[in-house]
Amino acid sequence: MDPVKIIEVKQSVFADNDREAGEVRAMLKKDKTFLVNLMSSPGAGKTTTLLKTIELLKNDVKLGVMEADIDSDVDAKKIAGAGVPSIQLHTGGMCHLDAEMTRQGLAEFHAEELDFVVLENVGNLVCPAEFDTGACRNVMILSVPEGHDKPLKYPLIFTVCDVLIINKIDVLPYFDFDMQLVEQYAHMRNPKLKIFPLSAKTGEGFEPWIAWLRENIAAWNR
Amino acid sequence: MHEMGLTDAVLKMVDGILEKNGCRGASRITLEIGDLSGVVPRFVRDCWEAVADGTKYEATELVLETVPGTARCLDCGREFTVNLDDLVCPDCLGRKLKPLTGTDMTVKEIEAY
Repeated sequence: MDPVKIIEVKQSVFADNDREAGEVRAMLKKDKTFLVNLMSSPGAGKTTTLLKTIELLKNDVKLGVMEADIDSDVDAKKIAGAGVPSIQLHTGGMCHLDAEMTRQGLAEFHAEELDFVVLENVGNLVCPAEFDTGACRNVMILSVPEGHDKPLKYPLIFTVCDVLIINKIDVLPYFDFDMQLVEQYAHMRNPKLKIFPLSAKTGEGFEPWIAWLRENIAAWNR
Repeated sequence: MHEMGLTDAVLKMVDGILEKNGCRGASRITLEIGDLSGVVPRFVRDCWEAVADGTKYEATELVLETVPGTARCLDCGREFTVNLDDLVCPDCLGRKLKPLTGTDMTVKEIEAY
């Protein structure tokens, strides 16, 4: 029988990912690539918002999309149809992307040749919020039909995001969605959160969001 | 599913630590799971069985210890024990809280051979 020894570890499981995420960000800074991690629940309109955003930026910004999904390529095909490079990352059953998966995706994608990459995370408001992907900014989409109480029910995701997009404002008349209340709840979780109400269907409200993106891409890639 | 990724990360971390210490395997691994980490210990146990299956950790005992969550109220400054279902200050009912402990999941120690 081998002698048994006790190894005191005291090492955080989250810290491992955080360290790797920091390395990914340093690489993005060096390569002058602005990476946005886009999160929402399923059906909030991530892909539709992305398609509209692509349409407004693609003529003067070199951009690409990394689609993370548990196991399909429906979204990647839609993005490819919009005429920008995209790849599909499969998380293999996992509910979120971590920094290591992001790093592999960026390498395979030759992201260093692009100015702006969007990482469309798995549709889920819980797990993606807990794992730093290494992105430069976190953006989440909340859609009107989901209700204005989400910042109370899923506090963490609101604290880790820089931008909150409130999508589907074209259906506001049909829902008891209180825009003032959602802003109040969201700012309670994160006073610095930028909020952009818009409709990916009609295109209403896109200007401030696109302006924010242009400003942040330029600042990161300077 | 969330716990799956975490337990897989634990396994890889333990692999690295054993190698660094010149050990071949582990008879016991102790994890600390914070009450505010959002990690469910029961699920970690189930996932561990799945990720350890067919590896050298099949017979490793997994010990799970929980760490209470504490927070400070940013309105009145009071520090108190808190859980995820009830994120409110017991004194002033403030909801702006800064978590102090219990947000992490750590590998505490490994009994290795």
